Amino acid sequence: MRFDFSRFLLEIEHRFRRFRGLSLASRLLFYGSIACVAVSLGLRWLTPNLALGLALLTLLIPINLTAAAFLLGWWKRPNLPHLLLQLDDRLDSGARISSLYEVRARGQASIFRERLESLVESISTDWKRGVTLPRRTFGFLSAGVAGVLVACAILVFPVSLPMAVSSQPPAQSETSPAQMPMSSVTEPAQNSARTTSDGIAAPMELSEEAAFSQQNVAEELTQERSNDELSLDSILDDLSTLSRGQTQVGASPTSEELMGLAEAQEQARQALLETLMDLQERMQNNPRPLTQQEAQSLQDQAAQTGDPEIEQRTDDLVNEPNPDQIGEKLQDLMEELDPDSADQQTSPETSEETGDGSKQETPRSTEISGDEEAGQRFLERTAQQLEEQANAETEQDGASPQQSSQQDEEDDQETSEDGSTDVRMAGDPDDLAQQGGEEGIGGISGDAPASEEAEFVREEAPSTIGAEGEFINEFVTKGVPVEIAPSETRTGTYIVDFERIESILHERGLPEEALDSVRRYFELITQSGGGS
Amino acid sequence: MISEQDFQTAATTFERLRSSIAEVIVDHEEIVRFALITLLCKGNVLFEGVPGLGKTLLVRTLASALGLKFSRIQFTPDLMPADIVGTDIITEESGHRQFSFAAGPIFANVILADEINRATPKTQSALLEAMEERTVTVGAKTYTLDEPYIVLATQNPIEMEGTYPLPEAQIDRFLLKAKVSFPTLDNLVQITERTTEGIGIQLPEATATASDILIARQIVRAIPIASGLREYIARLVLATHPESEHSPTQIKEYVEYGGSPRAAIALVMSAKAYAFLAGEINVRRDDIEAVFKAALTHRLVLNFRGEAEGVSPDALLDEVWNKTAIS
Repeated sequence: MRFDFSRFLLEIEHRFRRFRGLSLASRLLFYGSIACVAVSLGLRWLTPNLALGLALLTLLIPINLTAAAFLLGWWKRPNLPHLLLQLDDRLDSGARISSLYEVRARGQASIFRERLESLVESISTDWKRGVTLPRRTFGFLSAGVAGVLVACAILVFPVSLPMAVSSQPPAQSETSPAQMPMSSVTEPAQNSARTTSDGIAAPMELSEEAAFSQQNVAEELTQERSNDELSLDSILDDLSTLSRGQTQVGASPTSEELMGLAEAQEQARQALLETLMDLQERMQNNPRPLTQQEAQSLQDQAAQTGDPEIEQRTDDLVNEPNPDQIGEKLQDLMEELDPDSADQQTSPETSEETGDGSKQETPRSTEISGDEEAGQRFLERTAQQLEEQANAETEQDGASPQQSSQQDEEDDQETSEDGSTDVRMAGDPDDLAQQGGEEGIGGISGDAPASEEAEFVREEAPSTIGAEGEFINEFVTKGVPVEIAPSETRTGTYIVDFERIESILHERGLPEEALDSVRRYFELITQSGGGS
Repeated sequence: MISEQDFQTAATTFERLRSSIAEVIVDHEEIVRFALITLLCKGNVLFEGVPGLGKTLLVRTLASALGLKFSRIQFTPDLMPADIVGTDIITEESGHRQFSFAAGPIFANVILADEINRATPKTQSALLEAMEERTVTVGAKTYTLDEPYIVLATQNPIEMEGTYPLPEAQIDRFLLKAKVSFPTLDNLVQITERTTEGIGIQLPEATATASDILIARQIVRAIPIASGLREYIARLVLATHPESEHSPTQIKEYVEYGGSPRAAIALVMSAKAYAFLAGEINVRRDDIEAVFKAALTHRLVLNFRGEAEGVSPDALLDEVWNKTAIS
């Protein structure tokens, strides 16, 4: 069979174009995969609830680039004389292939053509080793595929990012500070993972008594948060988690959602009650009309209770200019929400106000400052809410409430035997500093049932919040603009520069809907001192 | 059209020619090859070496083996152009006096211009026309030189006093420049043996004819060279120019002028002739490399810095060769 040089050239050209396309495609796949990973991370950062279409679109970036690069590499015809010269050089064939191509291109029949054809025919059996894929192609290819897989993993499996927030409408994202722990409970696993992975919280230093119990999510989270160092970022995380939780509920309306709604309303009542109690305390220390933020906060919480009567009373309360009348309406509203709690607040047996406004210790509690008491109360409230949430989840999971309660009691007994986690006893300030007193999220174990809250006596005590105070320092994150009012002689008076806070939060990219929550948080932690 | 027999005949002839020269000239295979290449390419060659290395003997042997008319011109400072090309003289024939042309030594087939740099530029330039156009103009009449025609010039690199370096225009007309090196110990022993024993050196018999050489020249021109290699040669020549973007740094620093287009032609033709002498049927990169320095070394004009620092043109060409990719 006669050697067909034209066919030989065609094979060379096709192989070269194929390999050039592959080489180009591998490079583009590599760079495209990098871009894909970056876009995936960006999407995950900006939109936690990533649509499937958008994810697929992201993955199409490297795939399209690769396909386009291959087609481009294949489409463009090579410079055949140069290609043949390269092939000659690699095959060490003495430029015979390219010389034959030259002779044939000139169309001259000579002795050289015949001789060259016979020589090239002998070379043609092994020509493929002259047209090979560059080694880098395999590197680019493997790296590119790995990059695409990473991007897939990012898109398919949600990755919690430190500053990932949802783009929720403001109405859905507004929550009261009292709901923040509850939102954390709705996604305990994610919360826990984020706390340990985002690097914002301090390393966990769990005591033996505070070991995690998977059967009691509330206890687990409470203990975890009690050992976490309070930071503004952790608050923001809670807010974002809460927003995500609301989004998920709104996205899938079911019977569970209705149950959750009723539960949320009950929690809102509790939160409103607590706010009112704090407000009452503030009124006793500093009788003056409600601030706009306080009024707005009360109205928001009242609206979340879903009770028109409470909303009406709240409106009357916030519209009342007379501080005395405010106190009365405040008391009425508290009785409406929880008569028992209101009685305890006003009981002369449990609280005995002195002339200078400080509180004396009661027979059932050791001497604590007003700030510590506020922190203690906040911890108890959080523990109670977590307990309720955990019970509700247990019921939703099909477990009987009796079993859950029994398990809780057993856990409580185990914890109480050690006694180290018994931070409910307000007489131990050290325990309070170590395990509680932060942000109202944790610090107390699940062995503090809600029914025992009545045992704690609210009393008016001189606030030790101030430059020498310890409790407020636990709340104040470094960099947060909370200062002692220079004009006030009494300790515990703080000034919160909300404008600076807003500017800080704007720099951190916090959504507008979360600003009010942060504002209320600072009002809560400074209200005992009459924050402005 | 060249036939297979023509090719075989030419190849055999030049192989025989090379062997017969090698019987007289010890070593210097490369020099002999360059001389043959020059003959095949219709060019001229410049040998550079100290006296006594056998340059003149080489040329005489080549002329003898080719069976061509040989002429030697010893260049001296007082040599005049008319001494080379010839002049019109008055002759008396049948009682009539008339001018008749007395041809100079340039009218031969193989010219040995010994120590060409000792003559004045005026005399040196008398060779220009003969070397390039193969014609000689005396007065108003132009004479055509017989083919094959080849000028083999020599120059002594060490005795520079009283010499006149060849102008660029003339040196560019030499196809190749070959450096005649000193023989090795064994070769020197062999030289002494050949020249002092028996009847001494005997020039070889003619093994080729002018016709053989002309046919071989056609074959050499027909040897195919890939267009990629042509481009490669062009890039090599361009890389010797300091203003070229592809030239190495040393070329930019030390070279005033690079190779001319004639250098590229010389490189292509020399490579073809080299391939022919090597028994190849096409030009390879190795063929180009073999003649690269010989074709370009005398065409590089160093600048003042290059001259002052004693930069070797061969080193610069090595740089060019290493830095220029084949494609």
